[in-house]
Amino acid sequence: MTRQIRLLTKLSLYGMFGFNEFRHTKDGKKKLRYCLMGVLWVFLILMLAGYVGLTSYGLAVMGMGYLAPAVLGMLVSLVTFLFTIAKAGPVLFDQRAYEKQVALPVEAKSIIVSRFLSMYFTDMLLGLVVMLPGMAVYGAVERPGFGFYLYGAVVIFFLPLLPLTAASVVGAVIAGISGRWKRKNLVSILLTMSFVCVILVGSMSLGGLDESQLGSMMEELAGQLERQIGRLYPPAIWISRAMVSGQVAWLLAFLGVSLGSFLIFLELLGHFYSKVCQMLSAREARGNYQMQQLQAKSVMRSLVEREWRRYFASSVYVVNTLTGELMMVLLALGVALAGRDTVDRLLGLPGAVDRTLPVLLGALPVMMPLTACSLSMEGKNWWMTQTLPVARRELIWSKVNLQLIVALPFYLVSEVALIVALRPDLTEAICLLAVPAAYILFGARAGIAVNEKFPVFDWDSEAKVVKQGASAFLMMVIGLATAAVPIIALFVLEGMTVFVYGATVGALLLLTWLMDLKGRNKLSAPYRLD
Amino acid sequence: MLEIKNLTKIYKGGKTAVDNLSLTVRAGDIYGFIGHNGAGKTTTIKAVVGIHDCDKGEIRVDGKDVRTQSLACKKAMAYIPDNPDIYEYLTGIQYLNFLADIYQVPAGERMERIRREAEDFGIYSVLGDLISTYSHGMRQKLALTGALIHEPKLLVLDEPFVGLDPEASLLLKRKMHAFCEKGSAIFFSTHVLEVAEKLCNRIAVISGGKLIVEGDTKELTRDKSLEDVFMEVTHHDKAD
Repeated sequence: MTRQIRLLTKLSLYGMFGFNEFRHTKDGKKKLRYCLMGVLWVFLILMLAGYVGLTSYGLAVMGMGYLAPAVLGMLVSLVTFLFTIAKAGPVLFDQRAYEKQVALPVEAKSIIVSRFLSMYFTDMLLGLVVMLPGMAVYGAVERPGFGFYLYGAVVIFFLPLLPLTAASVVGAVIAGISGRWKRKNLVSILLTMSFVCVILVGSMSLGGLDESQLGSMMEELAGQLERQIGRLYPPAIWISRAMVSGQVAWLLAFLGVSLGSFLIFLELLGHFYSKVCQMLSAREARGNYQMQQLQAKSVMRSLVEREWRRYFASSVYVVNTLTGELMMVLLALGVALAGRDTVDRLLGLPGAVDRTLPVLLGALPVMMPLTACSLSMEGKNWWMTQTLPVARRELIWSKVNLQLIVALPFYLVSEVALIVALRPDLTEAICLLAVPAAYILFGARAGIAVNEKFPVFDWDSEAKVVKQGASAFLMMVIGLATAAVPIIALFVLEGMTVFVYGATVGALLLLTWLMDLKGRNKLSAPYRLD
Repeated sequence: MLEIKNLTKIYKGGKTAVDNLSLTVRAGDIYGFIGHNGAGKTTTIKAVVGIHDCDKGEIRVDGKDVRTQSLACKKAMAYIPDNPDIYEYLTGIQYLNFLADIYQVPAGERMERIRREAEDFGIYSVLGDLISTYSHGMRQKLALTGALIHEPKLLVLDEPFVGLDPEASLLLKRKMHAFCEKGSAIFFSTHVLEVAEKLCNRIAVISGGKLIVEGDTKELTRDKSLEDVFMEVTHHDKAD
C-alpha cells in the first residue's frame, strides 16, 4: 500500500504548481511566465516571513514570547482549514481521477491518502513559511534550548494534519449529502457556502482583543490571549507548551490527536469512499425528450447563459469565487447591524471601517472574481470557443457580464443595508454606491486580462484551476494592491475623502477601459490566445 | 471551397509540423486527408479552423482569408475534432440551441433541422439529458448534429468515424454524400483507408508534414488499393 500511495502521490504532485511543465516545456514564453510567478511567490513569502517575524518579535518584547508558537500555529491551522474546506471534497472525490485510478490495482485507501497528501504538501509549505521565521526570531530573542528546535521541527511537519482532516471531514460530509440529491452541485454549493459563512462569522466574533484592556497589565493581556487561543484551537496551546517548556506530553498529545483523527477519518472514509464516488458520478438520464418551442436569442445572451450554466455546474468554482461577495455582504450587514465601531474592533483595524468602508466593500469581490479562471475553466472545451464565429470582445464581455450578474444581488443587499442603517448624505451615498460598483467592474475585466496571460486548459481537476491557478493568485495580489493605494490615501489625505473616492472610481474605470483598448485590434476577431 | 497555399507551421521548440503544404477542396468534394500518426493532419486541420496560426502560407475558405476574415470563414464552416469534448454541463438541446443562436439560425428552421438530424442519428429522445450522461458515440452524433445546424459550406472533420457504431457510420457516409451533393464540401482526416477509398472523390497523403500525393481517388488507385498506394508513397518518402 505504501508503494501505491507513493506512486499516486507522485502523480498528483507532478501537476502541482506547474513544476513538471516548467521542467519539460520548450516554450520560452511559458518558462518566462513561470519565472515571473516564482519571483512573485518569493516576494510574497518574504513579506509573510517578515510579518511573522515581526509578530514573534513583538510578542517576545511584550513578554509573551512563550505564546508565539501558539499564535503562529493557530494562524497556520486556521488558514489551512479555511482554504481547504472548499477544495477538500472536490479533491478527495475527484470524478475524472477516480475513473482513471479505480481501474488500477490499487486500494481505495491508497487513493484517499494520495489525494490527502497532495493537499497536505501545499499546506505544509505554508506551515514552513510561517513557523520557520517565527521560530528563528523567537530563538534569537529568547535563546531557547535544543528541545525548542527539535519539537518545532516535528510540529511543522504535523501542523496541517488536524485542520486538513477537519476540512476533509466537512468536504466528505458535504459530498455524501449532496451525492444523494438530484441537483448535487447546487446542494454542495449551498452547504459549503453556509459552512463558510458560519466559520467567517464565528472567527470574526472570536477574534480581536478587547482594546480597553490594552492598557492593563501585560500578564492579564497574555492570559486573555492564551484563553482565546485555547478556546478557538486548543492544540495550538499544546504546541506552545511543548516547544517552550519542553513538555513532551503536550507534543505527544498534539501528535496523538492529529494522527488519531486522521487515521479514524481514513478508516471511516475507506468504507464508503467508492459508494460516495459512485453517487456523485451518477447522472439521471430520462431519454424522453419532447421538443417545445425553441427561442432564438442574441449571441451575447446565449453566451452569458452558457457561462451561467458552466459556473453553477461546478461547486468548487462557485464557492471559491463567491466568497468575496459573501464577505462584502457580511461586512455590510455587520456595519449595518452592529455599527462601525464594533466591526472595527472585530477586525482589529481601528478607524478602518469609518474611513474606508466603500473601498473595503469593493475590494473584497476583486480579490477572487470568477473571471480570473473563467477562460481556464473552458478546459477541454476550449477548441469550441476558438472555432465558434464569436468575436473576442463578445466572449470577454459575456464572462464579465456573468460576473456582474452574479455580484449584483450581493451588491444590492450590501448597499441597501448600509444606506438604510447609516443614512448617509447624498455625497456619501454616491461614494458608497459608486466605489464598490467600480471595483466590481474593474475586478471582472481584470480577471479576464490576467487569465489571458496565465491560462491553463489541460487540467484534470477543477480545484487545481480555481484554487492553485496563477491567475487566481495574481488577482488576489491585484485586489490587495488596488485597495491598499486608496486606503493609504484616505488616511494620509484627511479631509479629502470625496476626492480620493472620486479619483479611485476614475482610476478603476480608466484601467478597465485601457484593458479593452490594449487589444482593440483583436477584439473583432475570434478568440485565439497569443 | 478550401484553398491552402504553402502552409507551414513550426511549433515552439522548432519542430516543423506542416511544411509548405498546398491543396484545394472544391465545392462538392469529399476530400480525404490521410497520414500516419503525427504526420501533420490535425495541425493542418487546426490551422484551417483557426485554432492554430500558421507561420507561412495562406488559407482561404469560400474565397475568404482565414486570417483577415476569420469570423466570416468560421460562419461558413463547421468543425468536429477527433474527440469532441463538448459542454458537459448543458443538455443536448441546450447545446444545439446555443449553436443555433451563435450561427443565428432562425427559430423555425432550427427546430426543423434539429428534429431531422437528431432523429436521423438516433439521439432525439436524449436531447433533454445532460451531455455528461452521453456515451462517446452519442457525443459524436450530437457534435455532428450541431455541425449541420447552420448548413455550412465546408465541413471539417478529424477522424469522424472513431467511436461511431456501424449503423451510425453508414448513416454518416450517406449524410456526407447528401451534404456534398448540395454543393458543399467535406475535408476530413482518417486512418481507415477502406472508408477513404470508397467515400472520397479526392485524396491527399501527408507524411512528415509534407504533402506527398494528392489527386482524384480513382486516378490514384487505378489497379491498386488505397492501402497499397499509401504504403508505397509513405515508405518511398521515408526512404528518400
